[in-house]
Amino acid sequence: MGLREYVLRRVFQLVLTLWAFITVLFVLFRAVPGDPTTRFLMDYPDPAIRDARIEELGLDQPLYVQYFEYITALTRGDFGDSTYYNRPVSELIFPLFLNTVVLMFTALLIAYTIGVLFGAAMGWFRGSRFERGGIVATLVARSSPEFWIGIILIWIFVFQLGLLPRAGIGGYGGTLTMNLADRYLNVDFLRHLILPALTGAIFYMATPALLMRNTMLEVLKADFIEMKKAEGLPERTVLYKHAARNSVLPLVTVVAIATGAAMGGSVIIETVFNWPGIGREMVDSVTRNDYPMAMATFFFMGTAVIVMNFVADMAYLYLDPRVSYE
Amino acid sequence: MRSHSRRSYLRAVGASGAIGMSAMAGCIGFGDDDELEGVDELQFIIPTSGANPDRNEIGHLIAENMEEVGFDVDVEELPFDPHVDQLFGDRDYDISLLGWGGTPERIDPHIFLMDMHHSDFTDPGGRNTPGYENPEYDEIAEAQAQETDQEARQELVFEAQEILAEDQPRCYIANEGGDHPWNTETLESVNATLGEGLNGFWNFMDAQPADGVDQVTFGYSADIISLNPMQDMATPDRQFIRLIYDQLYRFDDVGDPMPWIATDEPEISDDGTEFTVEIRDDHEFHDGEPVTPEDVVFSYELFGEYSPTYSVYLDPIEEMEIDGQEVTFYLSEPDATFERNALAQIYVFPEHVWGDVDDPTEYTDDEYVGSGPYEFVDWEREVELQLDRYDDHFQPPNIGRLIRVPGDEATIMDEIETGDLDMAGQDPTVTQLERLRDADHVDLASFDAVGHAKLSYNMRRDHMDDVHIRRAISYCVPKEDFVETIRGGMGTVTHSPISPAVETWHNPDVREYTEDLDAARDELEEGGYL
Amino acid sequence: MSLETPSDTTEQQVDAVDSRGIRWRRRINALRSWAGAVKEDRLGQIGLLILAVFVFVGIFARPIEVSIGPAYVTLQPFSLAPYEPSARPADGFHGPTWSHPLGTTSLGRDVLSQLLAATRVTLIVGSVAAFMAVFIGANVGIVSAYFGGWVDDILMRITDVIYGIPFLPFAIALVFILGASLTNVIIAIVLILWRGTARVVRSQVLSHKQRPYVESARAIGASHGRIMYVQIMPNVLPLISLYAAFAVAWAVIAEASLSFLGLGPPGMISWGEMIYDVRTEGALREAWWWAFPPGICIMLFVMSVFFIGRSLEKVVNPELRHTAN
Repeated sequence: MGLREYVLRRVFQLVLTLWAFITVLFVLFRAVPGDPTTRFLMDYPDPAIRDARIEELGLDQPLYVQYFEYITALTRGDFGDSTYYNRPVSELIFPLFLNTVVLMFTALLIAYTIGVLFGAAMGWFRGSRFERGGIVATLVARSSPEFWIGIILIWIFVFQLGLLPRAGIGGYGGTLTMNLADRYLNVDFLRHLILPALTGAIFYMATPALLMRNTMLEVLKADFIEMKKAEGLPERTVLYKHAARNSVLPLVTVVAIATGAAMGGSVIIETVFNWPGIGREMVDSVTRNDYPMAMATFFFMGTAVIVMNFVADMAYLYLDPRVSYE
Repeated sequence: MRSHSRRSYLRAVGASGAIGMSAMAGCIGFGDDDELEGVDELQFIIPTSGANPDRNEIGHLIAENMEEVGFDVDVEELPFDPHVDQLFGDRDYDISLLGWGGTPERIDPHIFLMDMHHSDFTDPGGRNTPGYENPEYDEIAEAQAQETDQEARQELVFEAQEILAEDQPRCYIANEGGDHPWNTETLESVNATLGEGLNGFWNFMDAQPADGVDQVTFGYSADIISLNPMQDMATPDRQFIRLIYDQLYRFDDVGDPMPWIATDEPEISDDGTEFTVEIRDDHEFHDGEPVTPEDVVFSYELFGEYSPTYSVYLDPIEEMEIDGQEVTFYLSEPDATFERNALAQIYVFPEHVWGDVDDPTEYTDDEYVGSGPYEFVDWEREVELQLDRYDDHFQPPNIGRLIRVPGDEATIMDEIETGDLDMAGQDPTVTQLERLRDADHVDLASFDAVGHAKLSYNMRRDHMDDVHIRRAISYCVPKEDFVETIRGGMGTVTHSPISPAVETWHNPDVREYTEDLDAARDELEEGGYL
Repeated sequence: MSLETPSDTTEQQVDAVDSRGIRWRRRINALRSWAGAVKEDRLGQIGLLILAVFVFVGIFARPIEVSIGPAYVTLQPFSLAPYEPSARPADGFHGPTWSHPLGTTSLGRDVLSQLLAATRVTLIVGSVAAFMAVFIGANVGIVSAYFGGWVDDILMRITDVIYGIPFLPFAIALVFILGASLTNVIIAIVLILWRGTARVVRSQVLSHKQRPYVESARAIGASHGRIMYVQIMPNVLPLISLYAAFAVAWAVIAEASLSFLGLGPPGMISWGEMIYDVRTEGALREAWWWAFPPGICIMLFVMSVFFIGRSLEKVVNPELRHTAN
């Protein structure tokens, strides 16, 4: 199979997977036993109002019609109206999505920077007490669910030291602007970002650290390092040039996949820190039976995973010419 | 969302334990056999601990007591929405534990006596969820609605409460009044109002910031769904919409309408069908346009046609007439509730903004132009809502800028403690309460509730139509424990739908049901079940 | 996914002849090499020790009873927990004392008893979910690789779709929709967790399929089932057990996270739910005795499984990576 054919096939698979995923979403949320008009009952004794609402939402249509309409709307980028907020989902979800992206991007950036350096150091000092301690520390971090890491950080930095803010994305009463620079590049926002980003960073750090350590061990084992050393190159140069180069490939794919997964992993962090992102909105909208909103948050998280998996494959293909297209 | 009473829970854990682990030989025992004659397992629906930890807790205690006297109980934990759905729609339950909120318009006993217990309201969606039908009671409930003499009405209201206590279609547990926290460093005083605490309109009017403090933050556990008064609204929405928009009359802090945009009490014709209201001639909307009688008529027409919430109250209006600064409402029949339900609740909209809108239920004025004491500045969902004092209002509030912050309950209270929030419209938990009492910078504003936590008995089901069963269950409710232990002393035990805080209407001498398992057994014996 | 393409396995120098004796020897050798690895691996030993303690506590923390009609059988009468976890032996909230070594909750419940009783929920979720996930995953992997063609295509496309579903959000939605119960929590976890095993087992089996021993078995007319489960399966078993270990870890973390969001099985206290209780009660700031033990237990439990997994990993394939769940 040629490269071109492989890529085409992979793209076709991507589309197929997306379609299947959207279908799963539809089945999942239209199977909900409750319906989004429940909360009308408390306030509006008149059942006619509720029926009108059900009709307005199209919930009285047969399922296959709803399915067809849902798919066609999605292709136009239309997520429908939130049944809870009574506003278009696309308008509501954009700022939330942005908040999540900023949070998780920061978390992953920290995780991979520190993880790679730490992992490389562990490999370099193989067999030392530092390496053993490092491995245990890595595994301990990975064994802690995100909420537990977050709670410990809050306990230390908010409750005990009083250094950092407890929740939210900024001090209250500031400018609520969609101008990205004003919104995200200010001291106040960054102070609010530290703890949630650190929580994510600690949780995601284990993968690059262990990966980097393994690569380092392999590289150090390889003969050519010895040869280079024999050539008189300083040890550090050898380390950086060759070990780093050899670890790029697995790292890039791991980064891509982790980025996709992180969108879904933000649920817990956002809940702990009251971070207004799509993860928390997903939990809220599910409990409110707000299907269009829940499906849209899910759609964003799932699409991130699927697309990033695809990117990982493509990156692998691009970076490693030895790969065979099976 | 299924759960079990404690005894069956133990069995469930045991059973699943056996799946996970290899079986070991052991002894054999038997379940309790003191079950009641002819009474099947009762379905008891309670909120999840996430939906309401206090009520979840007392739910389990009630179930335990019921098992103790011989009932077989299946406890099912439900989140809020499915629970409401069960209560008003599917009705596949025997007993439900939920609450009923108390806002100023509910300080008057009418909704509690009429909508919640009259036999006209038993259909799905109706507020008479137990399906209680008692012709004698219906007559009294109707009579009190038409009685204009307060003393005579009080007598009827008292009598209604006595009947309800005897018949026990519901068991009223407690008024969940509480303590809302506020920061004493940034605020000099607050005004916690009956039924609403710091969420009350008068708190946002009267709360006094400390010297040099212009901005006050207010935390609440749910975000606003919509600030558009034409859309369907939840209570937290209304609590802020009424800051931005004015009404002709406002409820004062004991729940009586007082003139607001109107200059005086309405003039009511002798036959009770004409209400004449004089409008202030010096008031302006936030955009500088004057508030006119035309705006008032426009608003009443708009709400009458489109508002799902209020149109029902405006049905009796046949015609409106403007004469100078006066508006006269002509009703098709006398309506004693018109001032309370219509004049004091309909918002006055600017016709120059809303006049040309095709579908007002879908339209949103993104500037939210009203004439209320606060004007809209900015809003980002899940982040914050910003309101500024409207300086040209005839009664401007003390707070310069009001910031409303949504978040989960635990986070809101944490931020009260860290000083990031200045006040909160929700109760602390027992643990937080102790801590806040000790905190130097926080004070607690106590208030009484108008609403209550209650059991509803589904009288359409077998055995639940028997008053002895209902009373027996009511004797299993540890009301005292609920208020003192579970809620750390916040609230008051009650036996009647009308809160003791509403002194005019609360009947203190009705039959009482305090936790008494012997009394429960006596009732069961009388009913022939033991 | 490219990450999980196998590096060639080194250990199986398999004979072309199918003989029971050799198969058994292979299994025993595998076991022995694992035991050997654990003997050298300090972390693996620690992991096993911690896990053993948890299993012990899980069994003996509370009596085990099974109801059969109106009667119930007591399988295990001991109770390490001094109190029933939902009983309220104390008046209210207080720190550690002699009668309550880990203090009490805001409603006067004994924290130690809750902590011990919760171990069982964790063990059940961890073991049952991991077993089911790995069972499904291994079968999908073997069948997919062995038959190839359209069977492989369909099964792998399904796996792809599952890979596109974010794990925790899916579990949250499903548990909310189906209702919070122990069974539903396990179902939600299993439905996603099998995917990793399926892919890895598939690629391993693909390489085994070409080996002489499979071909000779085919030549003597062995059935598909026999070749798959008697010939090939034992060779991928170490890999499967490695994935089972990771599945336990992910399942326990997922259960804890669900419980932390208030979606845990009602009526059954779990570690995640204890932390949820602390948080909703707003007691985090002061009640370290209530908040920290369950968190530490989750951490220790998952860690012990990772430690064991690591020593397993050394046997199976020192280069194998386990990044994606």
